[in-house]
Order: sequence, then structure tokens, then C-alpha cells
Amino acid sequence: MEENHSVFFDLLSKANNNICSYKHGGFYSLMDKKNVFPKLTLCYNELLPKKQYFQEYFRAVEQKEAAPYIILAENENLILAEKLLKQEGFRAVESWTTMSLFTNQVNYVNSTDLHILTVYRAEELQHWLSVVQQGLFNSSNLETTIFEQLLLNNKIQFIIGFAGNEPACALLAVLNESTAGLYMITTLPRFRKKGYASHLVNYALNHFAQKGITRCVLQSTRSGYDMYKHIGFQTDGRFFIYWKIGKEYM
Amino acid sequence: MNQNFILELNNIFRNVFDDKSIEITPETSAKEIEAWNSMNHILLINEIEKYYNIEFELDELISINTVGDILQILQSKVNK
Repeated sequence: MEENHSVFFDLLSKANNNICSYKHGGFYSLMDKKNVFPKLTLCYNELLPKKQYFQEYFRAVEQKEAAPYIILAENENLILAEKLLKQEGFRAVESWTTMSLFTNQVNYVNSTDLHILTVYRAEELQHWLSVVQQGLFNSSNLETTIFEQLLLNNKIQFIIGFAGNEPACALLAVLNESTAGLYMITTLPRFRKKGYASHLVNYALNHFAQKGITRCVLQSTRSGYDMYKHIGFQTDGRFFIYWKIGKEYM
Repeated sequence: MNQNFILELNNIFRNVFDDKSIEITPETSAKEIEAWNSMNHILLINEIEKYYNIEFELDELISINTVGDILQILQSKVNK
């Protein structure tokens, strides 16, 4: 899972100069200098948790060199990490469940009217972006050039589902050797509760299985958990996202 | 009790969202207050915690969609 994040972060930073991915005191960090992704500036710690790493990280946050968000895995070190974070004014604001599935367990049958395709053309990418923008970013402006760059990268796959002629759901996959990480899985509000996201994910699993991908991983929010479980994803662990509370850290 | 909470919460909402025209009801949701985004939501909860000297669990924080949801949590945590 961590490896897949690193690959994704590296690809993002190579695709846009406003995003930089770097290691700082043991933390793998993604900095978004100009809100390329509204509210999606993340840190990920590779090594858990050495006090001096946190102190370095806190200094970097104060100097605006590191993002004021950090993702921590739920493990035996979390209590100590949380204590250090709380002392610095961080609090847990969201949790994700990490899940995975071996693609040979997938038996894809599309029983909906969803028409799914892998994005190759700029016009299709615009549809994909419109779904992600509305579904995940509350219609905030997304910088589209980064996705146009990523479209050229064969490690990235954009997948979109159409209900009739209308784009309805989307996901992004990052391929890393035999593993695919699924990100940005979303359905437009007016198309929800129709099973579209489930079919989209199943389609992706089947599609990647045919390309030699043996395992898919994702991070689920609470609202998506039951659906992924139903598809066959197994729970691998949990992540907590901490934010340094304050308007100056927004 | 709810009315007291509403009055107090209304002040907190106005301060956090920097909008003196806000008038909340139990049905008020993030859709009706433009500034009530995910980040301001955390600031709002933080201010409510400080005001009432309580702590919201992460699950509670994530599950809040309306003022009514906040009221329910306050009723269970605040002795008035």
C-alpha cells in the first residue's frame, strides 16, 4: 500500500511543477503549492514513529515546508504518535480503511446500463474530469494539465462510466508492477444508489486482471466500505488523517 | 434545552463562518451554508468543543451532516 502511494506521489510531482514529493525526516510528503488538488495535500509517514521525525516534521509544518496533514497507520505506535500530534494541535479528522483484493477472485458481469471505457482521448478525459470535479471536489477548480500529463503515462489509467450519454462515475488507477491502486472513485450525486460505482470497480478489476495485474488496493471511506466488502475486498488496516487545526493551516 | 443550544451554536457558526446573517435551525445542513466545507467543519467542531468543554469522537465528527446531528451529540455530552 505504502509503495503504491509513493508511486502515485512521484507520478503527480513529475506531472506538475506545483506539486513536489519529497522525504522529510522519515515522512514521505506531497506538497501542493498552488492548490492543484483542492484540499488534497497529504503526508505519509514511511517510518513509524520516531520522536525526532515528528519534531522535524512539526518544524517543517511551521516553516510551511511540509503539509499540515499527516496520514498514520493504525498500529501499536499510533498511541504515541497521536499523543505527539495532539500536543502540536493536530487532530484526527478522517479515517480510511485500506483494502485489497486478488483479481482472480473477480467475476465481472455488468447488470446495469452503465457503459464503461478506459480514457485515451482528451475529450474523454474532460468527461472524467467533470465527474471527479463534481463528485470529489465540490466543483472546485481542478488544474487539468496535471491529468493531461498523466494521461500520457502508461502507469496511470483513467476509467469512466456513462449512464446513457452522460458521464456518471469515474476512477483513477495507478499500476505498479503486478499491483493496481484505485483512487478517486466517485459517482455523481444524481447517479448514486444505482450500483454504478460497484460495476465500475468490478470492470476495472477484470480489465486489470487481463493485463496481468494480480492485486488491487484502495483506501475506503466509511461510506464506501460496505460496497468494497461486497465486491470481495478484504480489510488490511486503517489509516487516520490528522490535521493541524487552524485557519492558517487550511 | 435545544433552543439554548441553537442560540449558542448560532453564535459559534457566525464566528467560524464569519457571517453575521446566519440563522441556523436543526435542519440546516452544509448545503445551505456556503462556507461549511470539510475544513471549516473541523474548525466549527473545534470551537464547539472548546465552548462546551467536550470532545467529539472521530466517528461523530465524520457523521455530522446537519445542525440536528450536532444537537443530538450535545444532548448526550453536555449537562445543562
